[in-house]
Amino acid sequence: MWRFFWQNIRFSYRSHLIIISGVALATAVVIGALIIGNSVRSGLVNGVSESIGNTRIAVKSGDRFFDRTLSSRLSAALNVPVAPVLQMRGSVRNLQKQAEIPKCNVYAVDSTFKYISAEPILWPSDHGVLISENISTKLNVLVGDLIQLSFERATNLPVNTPFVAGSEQTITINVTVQAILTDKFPEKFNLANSQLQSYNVFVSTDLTDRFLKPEKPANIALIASESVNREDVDNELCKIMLPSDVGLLLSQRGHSGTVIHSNRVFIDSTLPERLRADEKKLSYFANSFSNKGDTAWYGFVSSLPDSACGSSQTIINQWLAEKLNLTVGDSLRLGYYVIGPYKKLEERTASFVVKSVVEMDDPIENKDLMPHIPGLTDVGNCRDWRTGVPIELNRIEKADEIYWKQYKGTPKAFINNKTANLLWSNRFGSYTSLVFNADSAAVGKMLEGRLRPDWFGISVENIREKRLFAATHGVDFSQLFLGLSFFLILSAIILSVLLLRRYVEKRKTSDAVLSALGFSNKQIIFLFMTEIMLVVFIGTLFGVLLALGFAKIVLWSMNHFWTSIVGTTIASVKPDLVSVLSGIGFVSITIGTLALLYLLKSSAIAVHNRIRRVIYSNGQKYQKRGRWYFVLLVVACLIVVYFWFTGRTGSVAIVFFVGTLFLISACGMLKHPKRNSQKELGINSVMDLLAFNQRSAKLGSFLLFALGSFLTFIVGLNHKSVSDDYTLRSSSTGGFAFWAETSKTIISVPETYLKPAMFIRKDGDDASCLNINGILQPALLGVPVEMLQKRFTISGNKTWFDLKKRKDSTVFPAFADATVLQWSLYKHIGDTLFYTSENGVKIGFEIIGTINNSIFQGYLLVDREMLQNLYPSLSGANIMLFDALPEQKDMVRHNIERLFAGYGLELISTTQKLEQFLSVENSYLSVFIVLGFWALLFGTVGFGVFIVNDIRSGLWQFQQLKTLGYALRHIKTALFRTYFYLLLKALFGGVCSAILALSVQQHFVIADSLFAIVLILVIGLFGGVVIYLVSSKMLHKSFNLTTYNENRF
Amino acid sequence: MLTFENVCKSFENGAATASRMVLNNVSFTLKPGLSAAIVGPSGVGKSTLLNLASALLKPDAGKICFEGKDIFSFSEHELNNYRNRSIGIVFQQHLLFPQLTLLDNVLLPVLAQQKITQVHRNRAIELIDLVGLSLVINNYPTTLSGGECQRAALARAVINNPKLILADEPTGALDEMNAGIVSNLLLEVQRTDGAALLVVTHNQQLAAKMSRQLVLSHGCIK
Repeated sequence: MWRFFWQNIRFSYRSHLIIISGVALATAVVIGALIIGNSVRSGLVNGVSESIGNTRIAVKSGDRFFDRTLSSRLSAALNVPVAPVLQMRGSVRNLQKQAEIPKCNVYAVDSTFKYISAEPILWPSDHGVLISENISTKLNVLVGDLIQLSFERATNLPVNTPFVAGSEQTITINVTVQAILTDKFPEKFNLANSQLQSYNVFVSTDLTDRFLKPEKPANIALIASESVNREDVDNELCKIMLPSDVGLLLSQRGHSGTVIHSNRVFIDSTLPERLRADEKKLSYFANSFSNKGDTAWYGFVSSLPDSACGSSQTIINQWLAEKLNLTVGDSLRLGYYVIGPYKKLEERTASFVVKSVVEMDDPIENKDLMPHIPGLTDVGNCRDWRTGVPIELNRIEKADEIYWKQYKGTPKAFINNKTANLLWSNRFGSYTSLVFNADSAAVGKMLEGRLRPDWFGISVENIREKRLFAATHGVDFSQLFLGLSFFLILSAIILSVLLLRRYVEKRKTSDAVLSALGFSNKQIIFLFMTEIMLVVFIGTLFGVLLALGFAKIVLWSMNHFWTSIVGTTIASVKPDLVSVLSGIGFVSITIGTLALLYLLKSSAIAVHNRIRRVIYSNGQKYQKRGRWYFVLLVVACLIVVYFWFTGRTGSVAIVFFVGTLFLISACGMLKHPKRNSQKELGINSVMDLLAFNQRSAKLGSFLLFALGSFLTFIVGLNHKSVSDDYTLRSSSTGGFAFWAETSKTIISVPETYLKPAMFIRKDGDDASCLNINGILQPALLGVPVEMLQKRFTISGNKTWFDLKKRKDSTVFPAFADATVLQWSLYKHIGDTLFYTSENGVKIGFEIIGTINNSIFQGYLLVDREMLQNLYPSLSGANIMLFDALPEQKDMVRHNIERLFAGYGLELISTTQKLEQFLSVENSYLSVFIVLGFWALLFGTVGFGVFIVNDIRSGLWQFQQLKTLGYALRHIKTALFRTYFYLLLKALFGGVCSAILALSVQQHFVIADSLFAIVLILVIGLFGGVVIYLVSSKMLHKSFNLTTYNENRF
Repeated sequence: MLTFENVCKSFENGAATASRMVLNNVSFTLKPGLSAAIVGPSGVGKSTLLNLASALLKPDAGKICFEGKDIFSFSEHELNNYRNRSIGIVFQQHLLFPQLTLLDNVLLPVLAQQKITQVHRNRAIELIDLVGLSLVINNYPTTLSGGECQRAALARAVINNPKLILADEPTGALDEMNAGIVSNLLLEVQRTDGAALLVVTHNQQLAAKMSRQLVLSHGCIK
């Protein structure tokens, strides 16, 4: 038996080689796709260590800062090294070569930074910087070169806090490049959940301390030790955190009182309740105090408990009473500024009735009630005031100077808390001081262990765990490439099965003889299947080798493409056993099963006739099928008509469902020709009858081409291009011409004709398609809803003003880009994403609408005002959108660059921004089209095999035609027409199915599918060539054989 | 009509180096309107001789002339013409196309070189009637018996009024009764059309009905 087995293998080695090639191809693609996914995942996981070193836990304060000594105390408390880092937004320039990188990360580190690296690392000296290699390349700088570094001043005082003078936000210095980092860590240091490589500059804390003193801020603390966990760090922080760490200033008030101020001027709104202050006070700087014609200028007004006076009453001090000649019952008008967004000043007044006059030494009078406002409260003479509001020095009289010298910021008037809040509370807070009826030592003791980090925007994260989770739960490239290669896999399997069928046909006679000689069916099947599985297995082994090549080529292309967009490579090939075994298993089982099924069906072997009849009932089914094709066609047409008439847009699932219905009904075109004696016999109709002896092979070939052209075309139609008309307000650009980002926060825009829409960004995960990590918490973008009216197209007929409608105090509405929602966040409209506000309150953003393919991809869109209320430290805008008419674009660009020079400006047209996003999507689609094209090519080869089979099985008929005097060229032409017609029907069926299916989406443009159209035409041409060559060769061969010696065939 | 002049034909003998001589200087002439039977044991080369006559095989040596012209000097078009118009072949297996009706099978040779007209249809119907198959004219070959199919094959062979009919064991696959029917029909058709008839057969009764018998033995005609 085994001798017979090996003889068979030797005899049929040519057939086996062809089968091996088909199997190898299918295996290569399956394993290749799995390896690609594993390689990308592995690359992202490795990227975690490259970006965060050994860090396991990160303490982050976001847009706020804590004192660096907190890190040292935490280290002492935990008994593990803790590395403080100050991260700032900055820009860097090569002055000599006029090259600039407008956006980079500047990290101030000290010697403890070494504890989070596995390898020894350099750290910067106090006058040099370390730069990442991409900076060196882009700016063309080397070690020893001088560069100009700008970074934002790190301060807890939000820049547009009321009354705070706009001090220099940016620090600009010239520094020497001490070293260019090329090692993995810390060159790619980045705590953000993204593989996009940033431009990194490392400076010493000694350098930053020179510019930021007396403060020593940090906003990150990193822990690498495995002996502590997140809860340990959180608990210790609570225990050791001092008020001064978070900008709370305690001062004694009298003998037994303590006042707490904040270095942010206003006290965070949740703190008064949390700290259980005995009294809460709001002190505000007023411009004027007027009574009839008399006015006293500049002074503080403070608040009292509501019981102290009515909402329209005021208590004034003796000084003011005398200055303005006021008595009880008189009217006092207060003039004050309210500071709106981007430091817009609005002068208002409020009138009160004097309830009482207090002496200057009254207990309510206390200069400690004055909040700490740099430039106001820290100067000796009121003529030296530098505030964020206009001070007319000529109004300051001698009496005012004396008052200031003697009483400083002692309030001149008091109103009740409720009225004060109504007039002056803002997003930074409702109070400027908290009063405790205990001395400062007691209050300090009371606060020990009670200050929670999250109250001050400080979070403790298992950063390593989160990053690894995101790396392993990002875009699944295995699934993606299996999907993209699906058609190539299918065509390789179909080709293998066609080849196997031919082999089974060839063996029919010998198997029948074995059966006649007394071999049992089981023995015959065993022999055949063993032979086939051995061949398939060998094919899969070759496939494994090919898979490595396939994966390498694909990753090389992806890396080549991605580097230009995200600045880094994705992955290198990382084969794994699971992928290899899965691929081998899948292909072997699929092809083996199909081979067995076909063998059972083959008339040479009748294992169980009943099974054969059940599985393969013949005759009637072909008639019934025709009816079903028609039914499916009608159903598909009805669905399309429904969407046309209702104007609704179908989802991707609907498109594929309708397309499948059309495709299956297109098989009705394959009705096997039957001679109609009413019709005149012609050579073409004779060929139609002679060809296609095997209906299932005909169906298989048809489906292969129809499906291939369907998928290629439908993907081609989804190939998105950016419309040249960016001015259309409903389009993806919103009618805007330019997208601008600055590393320096924009507080206000100088008065020019340029009126940009200004957006505030809250850091988070980049949820755009450029980031292939899993998205845990997308970045938030605060949008100016008033400026966006009638721009962009929002789903569900929503408007931008819907972003202002809140359901409750902790859930806020948000929009998201449709692509981001579906493919990055895996969420739907109605889902809520949870965040923590700056004050440690858990909040949610509910998705109430989506925008299609917009420039906002990557963000969750919320109302700007709401965002700033939740995160008061977000001082100003970093993103702006500008309008410009096409003919004025260059001029507007020039003006923007001039106006925002020195802000670290990155300016890009909105169409370019869209193209960046679309190019990533389109790259996946292009890969699919290219793989689909290869699949169609292999399908064409398979079709050639089918033609060989077909002609062989009917060879005697072509021989007969020769003996009847038919010219070979006539037969060739007619046969070519018959086969080519099948190919054309299939391509036509596929393309029409795609167009009809996509019509439910109603927004596609045929021109976008030019690439796919060209590919399909190439396939048609190539198919025609293959058909002609194969059928000609077979016919030539048949015409050379003796006619009636049927045994030869 | 048909002349064989010292025709030799040999075939490669599989793995053996020496080839096998099948026809060795075969010469004979068949005049128009006459019939001849080629008889001989199995494997002697009878079918080979018929294949040579129908230009499906080429001789190693010698000439085969039809109406004085060497058929192997014909161009491809002339060869197609020869097979389509000048000769008609009847095989042992009827080799009717199962996808075509009886009428279509008979009309098939016409389609090789011209469009089917009513004249051709009438001729086909006439022939089908002659061979006794009028009742099944629109049936498919799979619904007919072997004898009926062979009669249809005969009608097909003469649709174009060939001058020479070649029949290779036309009754070889038939029972005695059907063999007799087909034999008689063959002769009748030949007589009606005035064609020459060359039959290869084991059937002594059929051979006896021919004008002459050519015994093929050891590659030669005796």
